[in-house]
Amino acid sequence: MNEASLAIALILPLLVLLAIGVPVAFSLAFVSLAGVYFLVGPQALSVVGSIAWGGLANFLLTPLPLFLLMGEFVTIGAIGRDLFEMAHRWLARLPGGLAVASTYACAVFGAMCGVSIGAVAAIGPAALEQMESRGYDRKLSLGAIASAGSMAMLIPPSAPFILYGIVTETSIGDLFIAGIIPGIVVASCLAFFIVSRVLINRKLAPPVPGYTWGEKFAALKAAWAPLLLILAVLGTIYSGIATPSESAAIGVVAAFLVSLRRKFDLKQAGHILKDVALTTGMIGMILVGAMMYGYLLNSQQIPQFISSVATSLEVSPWIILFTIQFILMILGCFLDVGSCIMITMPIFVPIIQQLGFDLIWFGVTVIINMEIAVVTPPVGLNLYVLLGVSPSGVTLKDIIFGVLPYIGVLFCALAIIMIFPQISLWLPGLMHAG
Amino acid sequence: MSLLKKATSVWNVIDRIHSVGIILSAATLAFMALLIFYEVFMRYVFKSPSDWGLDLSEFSMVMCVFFAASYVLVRKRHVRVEILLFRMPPKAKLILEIVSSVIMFLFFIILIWKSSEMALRSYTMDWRTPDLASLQIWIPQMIIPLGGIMLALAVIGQLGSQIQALRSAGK
Repeated sequence: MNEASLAIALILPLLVLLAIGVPVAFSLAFVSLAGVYFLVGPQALSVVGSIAWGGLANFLLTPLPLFLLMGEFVTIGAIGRDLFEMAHRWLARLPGGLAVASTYACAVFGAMCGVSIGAVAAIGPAALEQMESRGYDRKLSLGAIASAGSMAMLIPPSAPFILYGIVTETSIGDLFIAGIIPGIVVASCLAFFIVSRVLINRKLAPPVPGYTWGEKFAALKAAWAPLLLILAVLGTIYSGIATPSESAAIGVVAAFLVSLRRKFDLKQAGHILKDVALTTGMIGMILVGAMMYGYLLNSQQIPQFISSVATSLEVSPWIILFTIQFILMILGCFLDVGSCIMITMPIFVPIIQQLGFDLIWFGVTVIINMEIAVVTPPVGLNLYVLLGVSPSGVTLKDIIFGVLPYIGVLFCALAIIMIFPQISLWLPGLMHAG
Repeated sequence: MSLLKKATSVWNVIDRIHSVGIILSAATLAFMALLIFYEVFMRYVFKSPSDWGLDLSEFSMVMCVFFAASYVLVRKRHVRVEILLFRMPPKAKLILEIVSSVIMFLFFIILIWKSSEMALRSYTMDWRTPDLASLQIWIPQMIIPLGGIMLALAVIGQLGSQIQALRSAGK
């Protein structure tokens, strides 16, 4: 069998199993075991044990459940509401001010939470209620929240960055710090888009009365909680005091203490723990499957083969890069973000390295690509979570059509981050220089 | 009929292990968070981190994943692509579900077999963690076959109800 047909023989069965609805984790594991059995030999089946053990007994993985836990505590604490209130008082006079306020509130929330649905669930209800009552166009407001929520994956802490870091063996701390400025750029692109849209058609967002300086500063009193949490996490990572795992543990404890302000009982804490344990079990199994698949592909030198084919093509590296982003985008329509990253990165990363691109920068672009995935049907998780917290009368169709123009904005943001790698790489460079 | 009832009630007891699993997993998660926090505290305030903190948090990670995995399966929360399944006629869908369960079952059997071999080897070779605490590795490694057994039980239960559903659909 030559290498090309071997590559197809290893990738096609996986796609078939995925398509007939075998869970992602077990599709990967089964195809890997079958491949290992026939190509390496029955004795090699024992990798299943060593990969399950070695892949999970890994300190680098511990920030994943801890940041998920922190995000849950932050979500039930009233921090989302406070953030929106603050942003709303300061930005109310801008055209489309409430939508801009929800965008920035989601961005700041993203600095305490690592998954996109957290921000939607925390900011969504308060922001939607305000925008509805002020006569905002429903699609404008729904789209603003769904798209802004996705920034939580880019702005550290970030669960997808942790998975990317583990699969590609890049520094999770560097990835986190690299996500900060692109996060601000994406938020500003979204805000700029909202303001210009409202300037063109004022009816979309009727002006709302502004607030006095006294009221504006009064709202800032609630800022201590998010400030404390962001400092506890990003401050400790950036200054090099703590590893991502340690800063996650600090963040969990701080978020738990902050959420105590809100009436919440042990039973609720138990539910949160169970929820996060469930997510961890799910992601952990996919990681084991993906690592086994990576082992199989590497044992047959498939990534090396694909990257040698890709680099021997007489095309600009950028064409290959765009192709990779395009494939990710398509996969993102059908798979969740974690699976997408864990399945494809073992294949794509050798190509990216061969072409001489920076892996941290590539990671940032992958995550922005995934931001588009979480707002695209049929698997766009944000759309469904937003539907869950929307007032009755809002349909999935409203949300999908609402978010469409924002997807265009995310594309532009992706292009900007791709064209100017310095946006991603400046801050990590500064961190290492300092 | 009474035999079937008995079998069902025995099965219901077995089914509870998944709920116990997720509670253990959640407790491990809380433990891990506090452990790592404690370690940071000890390192920066008293400058004396423990010998076992890092190992225990790694073991916790394995436990958290493998004790939750069967509950995730029972609750049908493992991520999968459902687009094609939704468009299938009910009987074809059931058959694909059964195929899917069999594939998972095969994987779990190999997982149990190979991971207990690994733990057994660690036991006979008396492998320990490399640092001062020198913990025996086979004990946490046993979590994987245990989790595998829970997963296999979960998928057997699933297969049972799928086959029953297929039978009644055939009638």
